[in-house]
Amino acid sequence: MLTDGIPAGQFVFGGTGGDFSGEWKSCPRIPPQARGGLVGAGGATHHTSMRCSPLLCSILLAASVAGGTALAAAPAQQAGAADPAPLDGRSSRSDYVLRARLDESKLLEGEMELTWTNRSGEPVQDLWFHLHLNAYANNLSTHLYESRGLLGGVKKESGWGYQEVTGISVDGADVLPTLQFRHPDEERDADRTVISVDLPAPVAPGETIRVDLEWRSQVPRVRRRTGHHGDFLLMSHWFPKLGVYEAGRGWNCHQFHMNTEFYADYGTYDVTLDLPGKYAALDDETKKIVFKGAATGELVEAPKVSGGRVQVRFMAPSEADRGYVDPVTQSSGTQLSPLVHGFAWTADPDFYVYEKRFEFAQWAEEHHSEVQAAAIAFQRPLEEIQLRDVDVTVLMQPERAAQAERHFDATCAALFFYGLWWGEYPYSHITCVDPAWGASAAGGMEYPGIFTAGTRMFTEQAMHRPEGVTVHEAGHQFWYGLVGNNEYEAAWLDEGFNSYTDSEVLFRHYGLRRGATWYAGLPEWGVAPAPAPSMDLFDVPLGSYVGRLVGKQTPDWLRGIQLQPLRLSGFHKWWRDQPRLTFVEQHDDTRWTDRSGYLRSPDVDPIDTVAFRHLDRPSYSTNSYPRTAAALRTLAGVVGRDAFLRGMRGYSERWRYRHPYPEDFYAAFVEFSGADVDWYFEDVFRGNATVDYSVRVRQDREPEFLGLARVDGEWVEPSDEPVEEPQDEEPDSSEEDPQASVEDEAAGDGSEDEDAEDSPAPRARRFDVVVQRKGTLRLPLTVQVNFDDETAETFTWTREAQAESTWWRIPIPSREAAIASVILDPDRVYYLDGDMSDNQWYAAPDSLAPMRWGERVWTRYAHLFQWASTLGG
Amino acid sequence: MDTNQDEIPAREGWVFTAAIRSCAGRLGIWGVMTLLLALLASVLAMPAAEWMEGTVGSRYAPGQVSAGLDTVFRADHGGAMRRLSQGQVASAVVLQVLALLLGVFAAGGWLQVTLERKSGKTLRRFLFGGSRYFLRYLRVALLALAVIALFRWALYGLPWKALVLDGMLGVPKSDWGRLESLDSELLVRRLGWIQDGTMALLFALTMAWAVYTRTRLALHDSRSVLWAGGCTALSILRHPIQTLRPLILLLFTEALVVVGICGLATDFFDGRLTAQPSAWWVLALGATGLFALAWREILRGARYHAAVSVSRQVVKPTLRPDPWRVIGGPGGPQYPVDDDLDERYGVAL
Repeated sequence: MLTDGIPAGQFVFGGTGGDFSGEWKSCPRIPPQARGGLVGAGGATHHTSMRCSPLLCSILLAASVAGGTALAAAPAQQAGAADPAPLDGRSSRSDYVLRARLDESKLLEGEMELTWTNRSGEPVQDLWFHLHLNAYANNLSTHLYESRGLLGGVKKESGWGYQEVTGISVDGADVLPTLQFRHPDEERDADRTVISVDLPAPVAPGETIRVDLEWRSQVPRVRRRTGHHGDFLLMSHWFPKLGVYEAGRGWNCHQFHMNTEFYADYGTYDVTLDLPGKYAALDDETKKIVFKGAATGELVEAPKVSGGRVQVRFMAPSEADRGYVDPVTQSSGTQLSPLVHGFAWTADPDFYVYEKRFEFAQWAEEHHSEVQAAAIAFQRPLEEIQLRDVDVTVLMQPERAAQAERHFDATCAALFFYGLWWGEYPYSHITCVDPAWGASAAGGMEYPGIFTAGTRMFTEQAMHRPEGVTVHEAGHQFWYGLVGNNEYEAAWLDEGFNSYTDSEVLFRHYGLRRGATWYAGLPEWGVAPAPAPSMDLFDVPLGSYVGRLVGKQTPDWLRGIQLQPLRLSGFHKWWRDQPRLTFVEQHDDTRWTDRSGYLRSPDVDPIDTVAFRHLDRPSYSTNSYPRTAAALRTLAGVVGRDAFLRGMRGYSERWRYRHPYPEDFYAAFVEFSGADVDWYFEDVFRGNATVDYSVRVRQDREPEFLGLARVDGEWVEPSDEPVEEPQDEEPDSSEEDPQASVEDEAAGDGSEDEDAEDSPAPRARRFDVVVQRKGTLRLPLTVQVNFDDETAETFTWTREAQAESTWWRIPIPSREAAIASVILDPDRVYYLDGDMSDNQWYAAPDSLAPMRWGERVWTRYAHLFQWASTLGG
Repeated sequence: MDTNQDEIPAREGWVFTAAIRSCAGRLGIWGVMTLLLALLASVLAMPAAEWMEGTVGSRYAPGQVSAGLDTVFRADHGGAMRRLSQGQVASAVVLQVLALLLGVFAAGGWLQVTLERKSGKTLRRFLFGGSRYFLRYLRVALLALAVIALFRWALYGLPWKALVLDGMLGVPKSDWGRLESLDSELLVRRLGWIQDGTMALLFALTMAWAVYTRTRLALHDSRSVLWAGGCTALSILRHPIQTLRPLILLLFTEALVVVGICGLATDFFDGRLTAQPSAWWVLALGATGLFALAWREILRGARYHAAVSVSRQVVKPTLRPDPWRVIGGPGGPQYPVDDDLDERYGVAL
């Protein structure tokens, strides 16, 4: 049975009925129906916290008994409530009103009115803000220092940006003199990405303050995530952003590290932008002025154009969404309206705008079985897991406009599958952005209600490009947007969960990814079966030779002359390779590519590592993305897919509009899945346990009796017939090459079959099937033994048995039929297995594969050499 | 097979079809060349097949990795595959140089056979010609590579960057590598296609020039590669259509057969192999590759056959006495060699 609740330990929740302050107590799990809604729709400015007294806890607990299950539907009690609940000590509320003006030199001046409600349960003495753009102010910022001055492979030497607070007051009191730069993670004076100001008076729990702030920024040339390139603008991290105050930990406001992204309070945004007039255009069809851009939320009114400038105003969530009751929270009884924890915007005069609507009914029809499966897993009626329709805007670069529909389709795929599994996308609108040429560093990023993809010309859908990145970034609306984990400390909670899901979506909706090779920017299906020889041999560094002769006076242009006759151009390389004749098809299952990625760095750091504390970027990338995905997929294999979906859905619902940490995920998953898998989280997420199973097989005939038998008290020869030599002498199993044993067995069998005509009855076969565990993680292992008489037997090697021994000789009684194959984990659910090549054994070796690959390599090189020979004559 | 190569119809019909017909009949020559290239490739293919045999063993279901190597296989054997590839690359460099030298040899052989006014067995004459012109044609090959290197430098090096990127498009030097300051991906792609297309064209022109240079060297029995190359360039400039048309048509023919027919056949056989793994489909694929290889060898000969036909029209005869009209073979005084006679002197090297 599934039950909802909140983490034990502390319990505070907001309400309207006055102060119920009491002692911080450990509180039993409270059913959602008993929690009550929270007031403050839209921009609520005052809030009262209510602490759980023992008496109240008892009442709520009693209510929980009658309250039903967590994932069961609960009737809406109060529409339009807009605050996350229950409180967890890190769910304060930040509502922003921003006004910004950008000039042609990309200098931005802004004003902010921040309304902050302290819901941490603790009095707060100061305020900490991120100034993200200062990461790009110099090469000694934490961000650039960690990346060794490289952003996206480019040495950052120009296009610097900065952010400066020019005024700040709290409830009318000027606090600018108290401003100081902070370095919570490491001392680095040149880093200016975190500031704090002292408050005139502590903010009591439940109290709301108003912060007025003025700032000025130079928008950097985009080299990572945010900035401009020409007229293209992708503005994230663009305003001073309050950190998150956490009870017991204080301000969680990290320096802007290389491997970190977001962490902020949920709230609302009302943003007015004053931009150069080129970002407005007259729509040919409607004859109305349109804004060539988009942002989190939706435009409040038509753009205003005057004096060569355009003014646009966005609200996030949109006005309509602020009155919408999120049905996911409705299910869990909290009845919240959507909130967001960030605001990003983009503009480009060249944008090609493509608009279309995601319609759930259409997708549900196409993927009917998936809807059914989800309903069964969640034990809910179909109508309860249906999703709202969403307006999708795709902003494409003109030369890639033909791919707009593909971006739309991929966005819909994410809205559908993620929504089906993890809960509805609750906003009415979403925007997908294709960054301009030269601004690819802005691509592949997620922001609330808006995300950037990334593509190139001439891609095909079968390549999953841009489908892969589009599904992933759209998927972040769920993992990151709606479940707002701390990306500085636990990036894997969104990146890894998202990687898991996007692979599932890509496989289900697009199938296998087809490999291609690019020539002159044009794709050719297939990949080379063997590499072409290097052409370096023919290179002549002529300039270098001349330089040695002439000395230091050699001009650079002369010194740079390189003669490289056989560094081929794209078209010529195609002619040399003859891909249609010599290449092979290659297909990838995206779910298994997660495993391939994981194996690149399987045990350097645990998954559950603070993002900026990994050994290096590869370790961060592997752990945060594919390793987490492979671990989750294996977890699904351990607990079963339905239980897995319930566990993940329960976690997603409980922590919607809130800030979970890893332990919150572990607890929620165990609770909602009903599976006791704490050991798995400990070994796989907090540890570096590895998985590697293998099997070896030997089979031969039972031997003839040789020697003396005890008959009537005497040792006698059992027969006068000549004694046969044993056909198969069992070699030492510990040292035998399994492959060799197969050959022995095959030879033995053949000779015996010939003898069988003379024998009265063939002797039964005996089997020696040994399963070994080489990894440190113990997973319940299924072993399927198939016999050549079409029968099969299935065995399970339990975790408990594996604790006693690292190997297991499977007790298979002698029988006439021979083993045709032995397969470990026949359903292929353990994606963490480091070497799957020894997870199966077949009696009949594959003789075709060597022939096939020999032929491909031969054809490849024969034609490469033919091409080389034409150079000679 | 008796084929009188002296009966080359210079103005009758298409030069390139006559060249193909003539060379296709010389099974001994293109057969040997195909075999030699196939042997070179086998040096690398055999270890690959052996590795695959050892790797697959009894660990994969029959047919499981025949059509393609799936994600799991490539992950499990990624390290071994990388090592195999490294070994292949190292060996292939050496074999590639051998192939290049084989091409030098083949050019001399084909020209010898094409120019000789005799019929009968031709393989021995092919070997003789290959040996005879080897050093001269090696110099032609090196000169051609040098010319290509200069073209490449002009198109991808400083001249292109300074004139086109900086001068015409205003791309700053710091952006020459990434071209991010250009307006769109389309513009960058088009620039790339102009570069790549021009380079491919110049490469092909250089190869055509080299063919005619070798032919001129053989026709005049001269030794100065530079002089012959210069004269050839002038000839091509004076008669571009006459000289280049047959070679272009041969190139199209090669593309039609190798990319078109053999490419489609490969697609078909590969599809069948995926659907129904069988050794027959593998053999069909190998046969297709072998046929394409043989066809390309035939066309190598056809290029020289066509070049001889055209050169006889556009290249002035040498003022020196034509030695093979006197003696019966190119290359100066030597003993008459005739395959039909039981000559005992073999190939004069």
